[in-house]
Amino acid sequence: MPDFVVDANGTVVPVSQNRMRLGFVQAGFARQAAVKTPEPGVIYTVPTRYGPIEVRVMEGSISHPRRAVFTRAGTNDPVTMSGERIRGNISKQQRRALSHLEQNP
Amino acid sequence: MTKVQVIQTSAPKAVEAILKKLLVDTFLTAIHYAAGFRVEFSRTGSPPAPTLPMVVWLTMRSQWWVGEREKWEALLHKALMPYGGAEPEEPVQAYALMCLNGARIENVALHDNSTLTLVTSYAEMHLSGKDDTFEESWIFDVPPEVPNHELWSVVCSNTGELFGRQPVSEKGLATLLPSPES
Repeated sequence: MPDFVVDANGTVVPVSQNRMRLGFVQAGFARQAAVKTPEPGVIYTVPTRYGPIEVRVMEGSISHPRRAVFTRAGTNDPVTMSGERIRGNISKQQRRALSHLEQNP
Repeated sequence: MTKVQVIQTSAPKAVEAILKKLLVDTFLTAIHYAAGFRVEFSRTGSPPAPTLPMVVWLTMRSQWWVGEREKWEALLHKALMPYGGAEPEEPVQAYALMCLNGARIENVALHDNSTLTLVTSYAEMHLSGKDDTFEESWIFDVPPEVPNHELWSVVCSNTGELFGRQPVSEKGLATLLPSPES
């Protein structure tokens, strides 16, 4: 895996989950535990120029990899890493790819 | 004020019971699309229980359809306009949701494969419990601005695993927890 990924808007996101969390904590972003499933995770509310988004940092499970999931704050609507809305009638696979980042520890 | 504790369960019957509490006698009152459908159900008057939310959201990730599957498949081939997108069911789903706008949920059934049926006053809506793309097949939660939103949710994973959360009073907790032999 690369150390960082960059989206079409130039938003740089660390692939390391620890590095991502550290950055969010140092920035003072609000956080809450992800409690809807037993998989451990933390949800950070991150300001973007599109408005606040939630980054659900999940530690992974038997069923799912370690990952970060990007959604519009307060909803389950997928958005890109920069908070940009997903446009057009693209496939579900593409929507997932744009709103998910597989991570390493 | 009733002291509540949130319990989590994966037992299908318990999850179905949570869904019935959340949904029966609510009305489909909003339809939202943002890289996937989300609909809102809300109730009128007083809720049957003090912590029961007045508004519930359903995020739909897996395949879903309205009415009988054969008739739905036939409907998919009667497109009113050319569609060049990647998910050809979505325009028909949007149409179906508009047809269900205002419908009252009369009952909820959760099947063995985690397929969910919402029996509404207009038609039955079915949501598959399996999905090959996202982590979830369907999600019920409560908008963050609604009181008690943090106490309730039901998630069906893409493999059909169920995760339900609800508040219970200390008195009710004893009746909800499974007995050792069950």
